[in-house]
Amino acid sequence: MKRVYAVEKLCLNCKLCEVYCKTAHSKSKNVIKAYKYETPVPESRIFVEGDNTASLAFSCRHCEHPACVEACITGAMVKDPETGIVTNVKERCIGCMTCLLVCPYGAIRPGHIAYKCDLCQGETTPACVANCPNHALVYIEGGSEK
Amino acid sequence: MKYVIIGNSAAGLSACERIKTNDPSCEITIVSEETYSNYSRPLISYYLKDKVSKENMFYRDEAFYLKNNIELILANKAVDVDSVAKKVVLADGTVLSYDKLLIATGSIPFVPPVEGMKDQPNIFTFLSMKDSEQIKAYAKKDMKVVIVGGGLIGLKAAEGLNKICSDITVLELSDRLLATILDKKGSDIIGNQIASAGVKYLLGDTASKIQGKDKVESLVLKSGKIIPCDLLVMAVGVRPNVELAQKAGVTLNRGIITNEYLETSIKDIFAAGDCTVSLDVIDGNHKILALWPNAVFQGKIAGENMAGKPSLYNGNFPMNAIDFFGLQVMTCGVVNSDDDYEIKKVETEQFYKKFSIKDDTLAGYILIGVPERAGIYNSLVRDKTKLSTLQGDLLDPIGIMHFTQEERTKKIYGV
Repeated sequence: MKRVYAVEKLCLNCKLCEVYCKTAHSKSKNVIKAYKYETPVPESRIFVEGDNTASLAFSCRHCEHPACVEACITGAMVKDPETGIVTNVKERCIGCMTCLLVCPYGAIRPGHIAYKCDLCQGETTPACVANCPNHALVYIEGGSEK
Repeated sequence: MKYVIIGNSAAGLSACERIKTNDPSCEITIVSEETYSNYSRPLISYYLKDKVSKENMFYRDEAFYLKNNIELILANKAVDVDSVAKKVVLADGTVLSYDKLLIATGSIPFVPPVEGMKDQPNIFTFLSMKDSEQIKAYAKKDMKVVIVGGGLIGLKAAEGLNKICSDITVLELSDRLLATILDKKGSDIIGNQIASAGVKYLLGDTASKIQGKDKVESLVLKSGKIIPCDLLVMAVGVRPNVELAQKAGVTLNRGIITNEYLETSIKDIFAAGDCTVSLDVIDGNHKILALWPNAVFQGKIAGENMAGKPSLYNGNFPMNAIDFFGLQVMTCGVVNSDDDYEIKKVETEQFYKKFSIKDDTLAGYILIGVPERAGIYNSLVRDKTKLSTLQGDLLDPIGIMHFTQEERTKKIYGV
């Protein structure tokens, strides 16, 4: 399946991916409104780690056998058998963070519910990739599944 | 092939998924003594406090049974197994034949004998949907609630009931709350948290006598203190439900003993979930790991083996993610053996972090109020990663940059 991959040497630590991820997951989809006027403030599902010497943006790997899906106690975390996208169904998540406890990548963000990358469900290019000014994020086929 | 699965929860359902994948023409029958179809057991406290409705308690929807060729038998108990004839007998006399049988019967409450305990209508346990419903129907605002047991179940019952009743007391016999998953410091933090929510607790004390004629009216505690009680929850602990396994004649040691394929001592009878004995990979001991993720994981492995795809269970380790009155608690592995492990810890007003380290590897941790990326710590425990290879301290917020460039490239591209 297509996934978001970070190209570490190109990352500028600018965090625009986080800004546009939040916007893409906001109600208004407007970069200003999403930050200034929405409550709760939308959460980013991609995280830039590191500093100005070395950094990269990291998000859910949409694992072939996702530990988060297996561990979810409510059935909220699901992997779409067709697209492979791992999504947390927000209506069913109770925020216990068992998914976060078992994600070996640290790709889930705690909050009232668990927040994670959904590959901008249905978009041709996820917002983080589309708005990365230095092409440090790419959206390409990868992984071991057929 | 005919598969019979006893138990309609985490382990049983995850086994079905793997059976269906590996043996598409399978015939699966699930037997459950509950009147409800599957539901998420950890959600019963959320139901009690009205955070989750009855309709949203399901763990897998009804389409799941259709999709996986499952015949579901509810409100009927498997009472006997004839492992020679390969038949299961149900309480109503139905006989089911099987090629492969899975015992995934979970846990049952452990209720220690207390003087004066009969079948008073205001004594409850807290493990099933029925328990939660009965408590919800019985509880009234002005009732004095006493919960015996300050572990996970007791505290979750307290949290659920706190929405309804204003006077709740938790009794914990040991010197700290959540004794199996926290140290004293962590327990004190939780104690403060529940106290600020209005729940009282007593440590080193328990109920030694129940007083009252037709219902519980008061309790005499071990300390001699007498406290009034209108609603009593017995939440001392759970034990593996091995009644059927015993009838089948499989080898037990508190829980069901299996090999690494999760097959019991009797051919073609498998076991998974809270009713089994698991290998704790941290200390090498065999123990009951009554944990949701372990049950799902075991169910999956058992299901694959039952369907003829060899799959190994290499053990697991204790881990818990819980929120108590809004405070997030993550714990894993060794948390309270400060003399035998190197300890790194930091505590502030907002959070508590503690790591138990041995031979340059992480053996366990406590994270209170800082759940961020706990899974990375779990992976360090599971992979026995040499901590000296990390770029940065364990006490710093952990992330992918803690790993070497080679390692993090592997993590990014290796899925």
